[in-house]
Amino acid sequence: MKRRTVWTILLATASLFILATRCEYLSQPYFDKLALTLVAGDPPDVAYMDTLRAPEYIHNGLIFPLDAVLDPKELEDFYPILLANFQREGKTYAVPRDFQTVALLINQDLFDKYGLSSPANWKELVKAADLIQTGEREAGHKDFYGIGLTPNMWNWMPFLYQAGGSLLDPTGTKVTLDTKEAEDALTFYTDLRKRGLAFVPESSLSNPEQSWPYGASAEILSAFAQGKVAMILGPNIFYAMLQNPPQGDKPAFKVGIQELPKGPKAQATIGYTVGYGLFDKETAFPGSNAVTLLRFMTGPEAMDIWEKSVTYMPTRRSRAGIWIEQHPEARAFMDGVAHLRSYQPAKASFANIRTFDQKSTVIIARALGGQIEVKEALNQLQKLGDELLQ
Amino acid sequence: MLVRILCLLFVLSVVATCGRAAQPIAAPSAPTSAPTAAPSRLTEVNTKPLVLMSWAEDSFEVEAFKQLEDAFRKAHPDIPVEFLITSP
Repeated sequence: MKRRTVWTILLATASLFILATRCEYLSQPYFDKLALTLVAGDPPDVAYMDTLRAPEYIHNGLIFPLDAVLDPKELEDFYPILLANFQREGKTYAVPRDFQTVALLINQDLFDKYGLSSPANWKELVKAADLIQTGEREAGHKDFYGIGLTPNMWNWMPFLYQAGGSLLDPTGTKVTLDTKEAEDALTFYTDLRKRGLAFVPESSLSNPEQSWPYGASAEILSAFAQGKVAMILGPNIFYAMLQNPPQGDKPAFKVGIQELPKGPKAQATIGYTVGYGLFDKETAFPGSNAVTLLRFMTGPEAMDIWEKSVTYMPTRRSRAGIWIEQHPEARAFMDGVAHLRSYQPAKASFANIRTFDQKSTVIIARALGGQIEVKEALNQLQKLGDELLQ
Repeated sequence: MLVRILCLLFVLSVVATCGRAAQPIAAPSAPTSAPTAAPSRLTEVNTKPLVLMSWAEDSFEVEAFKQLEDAFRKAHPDIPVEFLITSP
């Protein structure tokens, strides 16, 4: 979910033209460059890694375990659920730097107008969407919707976990979408559109392959910013883009951020983290300069720099309060760490994860569009996961 | 991007078959555990600078890496370092 929107990519492209005084900037995509250095036998000493790439790099022995070079006590300050993204069979391969979670972004002005508090559970979510949508349509906003959804896996997965389901079993090696809990979650999700309460971008239903991976997310974010929907799910980067939109669409209302509502079985959300690991065996030894650099990049001084942005939440528990002090309106993102669920396959390649993400979007789009029943969609998702994620 | 990596691997495998050295990405010759014995400090002297690779998504990140590199150099003036920052 990893996942940043097309706006971010546009920003990144523009920003890379900014020349720094010292750092060397390459327009080459990161993982292309990293792969080249590995193939050439000249890897960087310390390099960046994320939730979805880590399994492949760890499984293929391209990143070195840190257990021999770091004192276990050094890792105690990090959220265990984030560290787990970089751990396998008792070994730690990278140290998380920052993370994001998915929260509920609400049009606070409308919630205040209708006397509503943030929905605490699924029932209240539906009630709020219905009440605001009905009121706004009666007021003349004919195309107003209570909530914006996309067919993307990341958008549905929080509901899956809230219903007591999961994408994978605890070992990350078996797909678990053929369950009653998954059926409850997808039924609830698709019913939001069946009831007419959910705005789902038409292009993401009619041509989901083309709108993947960022199109639908960008559309619901834009619709929310324009005051056309009352709520959307989104990670920190969504809120950051609403505050500083690269293409207009700055909301004319107060944006509220709340933790996702509880489902019938649990309060749950998903997140995305990045970290640093050691890639060069020549410099991956206790007390090496590379270890010093790794410690620095994940230490308090570095986090102090990242914490200035609402997008980068510190992975050290001792820094949570400092981030919240700087972004009090966004604390629900940080509070979400208590309910984070893992969706990381243990061994799947990034290519397979990416293909699963793409094809699962098509299946969920068909379910949202009413072309296939929920049970059939889950059968297809399970089969797809069996092929790609195990 | 994946396509480019696969193409690269294919090209390199052809090169390797022709007798030239190439190290495939998925089958490194390196061990999967870090050495536990620290080499002499001398092994880190007179070698190339440490390389940190990361990506920057926007101007905030670009500026953050500049600050981080400066801060690291200030804190560890004896450690040569190079920040290699790419697009995402």
